[in-house]
Amino acid sequence: MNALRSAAAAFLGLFVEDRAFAVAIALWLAVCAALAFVHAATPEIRAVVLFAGLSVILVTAVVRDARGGA
Amino acid sequence: MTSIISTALPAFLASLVEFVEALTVVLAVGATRGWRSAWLGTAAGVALLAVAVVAFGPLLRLVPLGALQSIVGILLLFFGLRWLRKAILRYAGAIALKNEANVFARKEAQLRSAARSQATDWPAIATAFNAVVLEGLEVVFIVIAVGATAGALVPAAGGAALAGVLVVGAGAVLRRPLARVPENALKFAVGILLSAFGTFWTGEGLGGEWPGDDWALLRLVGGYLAVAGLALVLARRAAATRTAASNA
Repeated sequence: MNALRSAAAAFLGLFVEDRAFAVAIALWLAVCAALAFVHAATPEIRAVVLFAGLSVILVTAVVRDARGGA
Repeated sequence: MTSIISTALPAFLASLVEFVEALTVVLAVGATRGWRSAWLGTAAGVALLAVAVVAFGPLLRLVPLGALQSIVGILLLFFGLRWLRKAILRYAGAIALKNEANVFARKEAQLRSAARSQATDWPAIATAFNAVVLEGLEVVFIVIAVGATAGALVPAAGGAALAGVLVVGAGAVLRRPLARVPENALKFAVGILLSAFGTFWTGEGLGGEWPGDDWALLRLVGGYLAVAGLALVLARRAAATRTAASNA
């Protein structure tokens, strides 16, 4: 059981290191999925919005960590 | 041709980093606890990964391509952005640059102080095994992620295999960690490539349409490069302000 738990933790660790950063990405994906669900804007604009949001999240997380000494 | 380069190159670069990291630990095990334990742990790790690939690999064919691209795209996004964030922070001086020579020395010290059994050196075997499985898992994920979604699994696996041959060959000849490999530069570049791939597939999975179709991938690479450059400038400023404040 412990081996399974540590294997799961190791697998999760491939994708999540900073929890706040990962949660922000997940929330943004949820927003983009909601936009797609209600057909808000054109598919091209939705794609660009996805990239723009992820860029903002990346810059914000990096600056926050640099300020706080990650 | 474009898909071969766009899958083989990220797979090669990312695998190079992972193989270097695994090699450092295996070398530390070999140098301190004997090469038998290092080889046993490595062989067991490679065997486990091979079994996992053989067992789960065929399942990928059962998943519709659209769903596979969406799932892998999202995972790739988390994976790529995690690497990119950390590489930027290392360049900005907010966290220390990774040095394989230091990792080797630290691991060597740990292994020397660890208890040793008489017949089979389980702690040493487990250390090599863990390193090979963990880093190898990342290689497998990257190959599947960039290869399966683009329908170019063979070039992606070829890129990873070439990286493996180069790193293992260099390690076998030098018998010391490959400290000169510019790990952070590689992680920065791979972070950008994987983030671009992840964003592309996720966008398509969410019903988006990229302007310029497949050429959008190149634009995304350029976009992330610009964003990473901006983040680096801002992070350097923030780190400098923090240092100045702590010195005052």
